[in-house]
Amino acid sequence: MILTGANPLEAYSILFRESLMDYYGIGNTLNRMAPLLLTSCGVLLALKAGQLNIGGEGQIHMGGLGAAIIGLYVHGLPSFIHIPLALFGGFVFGGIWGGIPGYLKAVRGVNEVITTLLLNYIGLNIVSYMVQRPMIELGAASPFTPVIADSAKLPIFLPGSAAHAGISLGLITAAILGSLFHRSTLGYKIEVVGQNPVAARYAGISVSRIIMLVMAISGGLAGLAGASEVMGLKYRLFEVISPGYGYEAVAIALLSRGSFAGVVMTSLFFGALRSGVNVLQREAGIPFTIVYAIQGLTVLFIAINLAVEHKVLTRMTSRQKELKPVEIK
Amino acid sequence: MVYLRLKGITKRFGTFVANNAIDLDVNSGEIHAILGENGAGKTTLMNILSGLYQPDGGQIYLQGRPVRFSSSSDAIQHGIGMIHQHFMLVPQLSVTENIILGTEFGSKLNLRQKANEIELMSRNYNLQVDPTAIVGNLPVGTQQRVEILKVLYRGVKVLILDEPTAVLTPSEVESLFIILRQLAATNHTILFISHKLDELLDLCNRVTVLRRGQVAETVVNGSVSKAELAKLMVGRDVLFDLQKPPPNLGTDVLQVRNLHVEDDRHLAAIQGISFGLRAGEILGIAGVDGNGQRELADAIAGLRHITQGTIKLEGVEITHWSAQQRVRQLKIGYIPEDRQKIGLVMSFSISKNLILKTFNQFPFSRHGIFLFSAIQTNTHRSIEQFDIRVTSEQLKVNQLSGGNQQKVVLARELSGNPKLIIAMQPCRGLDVGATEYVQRQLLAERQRGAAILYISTELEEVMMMSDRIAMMYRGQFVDIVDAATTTREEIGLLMTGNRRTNTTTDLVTTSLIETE
Amino acid sequence: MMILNSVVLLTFPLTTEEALQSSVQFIDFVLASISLSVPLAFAALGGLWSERSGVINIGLEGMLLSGAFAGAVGALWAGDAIAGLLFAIVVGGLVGLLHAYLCVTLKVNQLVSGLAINLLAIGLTSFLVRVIYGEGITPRLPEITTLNIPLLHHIPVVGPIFFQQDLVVYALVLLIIVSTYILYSTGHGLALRAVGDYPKAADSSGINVAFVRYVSVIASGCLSGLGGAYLSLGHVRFFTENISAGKGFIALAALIFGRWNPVATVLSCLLFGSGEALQLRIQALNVDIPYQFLTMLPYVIALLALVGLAGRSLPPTALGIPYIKEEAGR
Repeated sequence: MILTGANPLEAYSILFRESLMDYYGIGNTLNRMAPLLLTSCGVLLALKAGQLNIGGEGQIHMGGLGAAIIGLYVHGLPSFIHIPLALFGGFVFGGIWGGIPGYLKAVRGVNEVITTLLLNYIGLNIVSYMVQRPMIELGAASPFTPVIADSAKLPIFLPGSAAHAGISLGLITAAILGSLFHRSTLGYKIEVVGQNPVAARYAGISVSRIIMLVMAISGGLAGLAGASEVMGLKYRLFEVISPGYGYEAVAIALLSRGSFAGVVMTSLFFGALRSGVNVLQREAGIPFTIVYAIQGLTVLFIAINLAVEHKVLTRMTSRQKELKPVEIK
Repeated sequence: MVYLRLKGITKRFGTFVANNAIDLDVNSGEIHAILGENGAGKTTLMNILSGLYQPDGGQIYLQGRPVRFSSSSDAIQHGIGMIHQHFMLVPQLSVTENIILGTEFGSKLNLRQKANEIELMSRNYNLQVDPTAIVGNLPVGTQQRVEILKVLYRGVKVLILDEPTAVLTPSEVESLFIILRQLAATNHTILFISHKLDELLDLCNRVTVLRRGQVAETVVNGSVSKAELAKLMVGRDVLFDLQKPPPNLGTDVLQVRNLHVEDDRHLAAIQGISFGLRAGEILGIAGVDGNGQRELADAIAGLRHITQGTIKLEGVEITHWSAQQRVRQLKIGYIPEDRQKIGLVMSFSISKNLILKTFNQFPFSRHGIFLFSAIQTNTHRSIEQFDIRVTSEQLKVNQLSGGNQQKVVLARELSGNPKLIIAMQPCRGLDVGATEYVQRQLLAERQRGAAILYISTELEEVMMMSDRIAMMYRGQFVDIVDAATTTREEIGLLMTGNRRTNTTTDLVTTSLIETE
Repeated sequence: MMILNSVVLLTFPLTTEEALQSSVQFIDFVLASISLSVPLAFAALGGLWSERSGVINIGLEGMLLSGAFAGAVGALWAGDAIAGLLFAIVVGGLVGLLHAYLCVTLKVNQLVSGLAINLLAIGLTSFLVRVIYGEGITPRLPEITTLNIPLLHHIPVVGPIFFQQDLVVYALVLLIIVSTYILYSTGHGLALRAVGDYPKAADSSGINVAFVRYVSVIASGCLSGLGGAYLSLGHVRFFTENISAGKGFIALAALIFGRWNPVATVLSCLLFGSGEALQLRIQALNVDIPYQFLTMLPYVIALLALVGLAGRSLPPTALGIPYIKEEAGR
């Protein structure tokens, strides 16, 4: 920040003031937060099963594609059917995009980190093609699709602002997943797979089925994020509908230390960061790409934090182990 | 002539004293045993000697001069080398590469020349190895020879062996002893860590017994009996016999016919095993590790695919039932070999581990939702019933000692009154007290009428616990003998694959002759 | 793949004139493939060094990008391409140092560290390019000189391909030879392989595991940095945001496909590079295939390669597992 000649403190205060204090700013923050929240929930879900889903970008875009298709080419449906249908379309498309790496990992043992990454680029290209050719709005200056049907647009969440209902989707998802892991047997199964796949087999849990399920839903949630961007924010499909949400979601999931409440908080933080940064550009002339740098640094710091804690923890538990010979008879 | 002297060696880990003012003298050309149970401090002491740890107090003298080792390489340079229980060999590399690892840093590595050097050396020491063989493909006994060659290559005069016979067949043990005696005769000094009394009495000149970090006594071989040694080791009289009541045999529980199972590499691990097991009896399965025991246990528990043959439980054919089915519908208890890797989820709490097999069933859950009060009651009851020593019920399993962890496994597997129990190395890594507990539990189950498969590589254990003993060799049962009437010699013979007959002994397998 | 490509291109012409033209096209195609494979190869070799010592490096993408940026900046500042290359090596090495510090000393999850590096790289380079040059793209960069091996480069077909390349390509060839030699024929290489397969054994043999890993990871940074510099200083001669576009991940796929062996890995890179070259050729031929399908092609090939090979490619045994020296506890 200092490089650009701006005053860092001032910049940060503008950033947070605009994003959290201002009513309109909060709306923007929530809008940024929604896709982050949804995608991060997905990543955390996969993480619980020991899978690292870095394919958020691709899955978001495919989800947007799915939603756009239903939003543009399905007609004559009332809102309360059209909206869920379009969301479902987004979920399915994203789910397939997550399910493929899931299948490859579960059945063929291919590392999901690389497959999800590669599918990102493939997915982006597919969407780019679809927007530029079959689905393009004729006569437009840059490629985008026509506006989706009114019946497929997400309602506004906070009246008077631009915040759309995507955020409610995100919050509901986080709540559902949180209780899944707290009190359901499925959550238990997923955790066993993530913590000790050998013991999972021994317990009669089908490891491959869980991995595929988790990756598909993880992709589906990211797809939902993409759908919400299309249906709530721009009302069209663009070539690029995510400025790196997929990668940010990985950071958020890691930072949240396994809790979905943590995901909500961290998504809020990152959402505020992003919405505030736009203001920064306007007022202080700092290019918005700085947000990537901030993200990277945050991930770094948390990773270091985690590692240090882990070391402290292992030192603690090893000391406990040493004391034990005195405990047992 | 005293070659090595330890005076007042002390080592602390936090507030725990692992070694407490230990004095030890070793003469050159001597084979000196260090005896003690798990946790007595033997390995710590040897780690100090071999340079891995630094003592907090005391001094080491080498040929009368005080020395200090800053690292294991430093110790090696002074002529002290350790042969670990888990070999420090890279399986993917060749024998030569492993031996010279860390010694060559020039710009050119002439492997062929080194291989020749090593072959010469191996012949001199009578430690036959093929220098170009890949270590991972070698049998365990040969790998151990590579380990020994590795330290000899670096010119050590003092060899420390940490539980070297744990993974060897009786004939491999004999070979090892011959090698060690030869080395002792050529002025090497041997320190032999073990808890196997019979072996020590066979091999060593003197024995130092460690108990709870201190030297209990140093005795000369021949001046004490085995029972006295055991008493020194444990601090009280140890019963070598659990006083097993005669079996109360019931109906046939398990019927295995012509079982064929493949291992992870799709090679035949079990090649036609048939046996029956009745309620109330313990069938011990003995044999050196790697002859198919794991695959047998897995197959019966449903974790491995059966390529041929049948398994029947109480008359019902369960050959192709999945693990899930077996868990849900049958009452089989499986105590796995590696509790940390297979039996438990280390980061989970005791409660969550206790329901690992039953989480899908009532009363612990209904329609996929957990019923927490039932789970809690179960935990409480298990802790009491199985004497799990914990300060709090909320502890995670990775905070427990090995003995307590095994008790959690037992609590889970035995609490459903299973009809069949498969116990695979159940006492591995446990001290005398915990071992006694596990064995008593299993005997109690036997009284109750469970059919138990007791698989172990520790012969004494198997002989003590079993009613009948099956010797496993290369995927087949060499023979099944009656535990009460068999002898150690007979078992030893069976271990090498020779079936007992009246006049001649014939090898069970017609495949490759075992090379040693 | 290349055979397929060249067959496709060579079956088109019918007259001898066209045959001549197509042989020129073929040479062009091969040259382009090589040129596109170079950054991949450097990154993949870098990844090989790192992973052979047991440290996963998914930050290759970030290292490539940093190298591309550093190469551009260095070259512009000094007015000379070589300066750019050197600067890229240094910067790459620094990034490698960061990864090493995180993974070896702090024992952070190696995937997370790589990811963080990627994020940081794209953030900082995009940001800095705007700050320093005012827009998302740098001015035209100085050229890397081509080395012409005397006489030999006049041989038709083979000549231009093998004997008329620039410095960096020859460096790559040298690197492959040196890497293979070091890895399999020196004590250092042996130590490295031991560290990657069974660090405990290496440690007990007196090898400093941490040091070996540091050196390999820094080396991977330097190599990837150099490869990245070739991205910007090579034939395109400018730097723009995200110029690496996922090449670091393709390099990883090549590494897996090449089973962590130097020669096989570089050949895989050549495979993927030729895929990209094919895509550009087809675009130029004005065939009416939407360009996105062609842009996808390298990634699809990489994916299929991985799927086809899955399970049969064995990484170094200790890959991804931080090495903790046993000190306290027993």
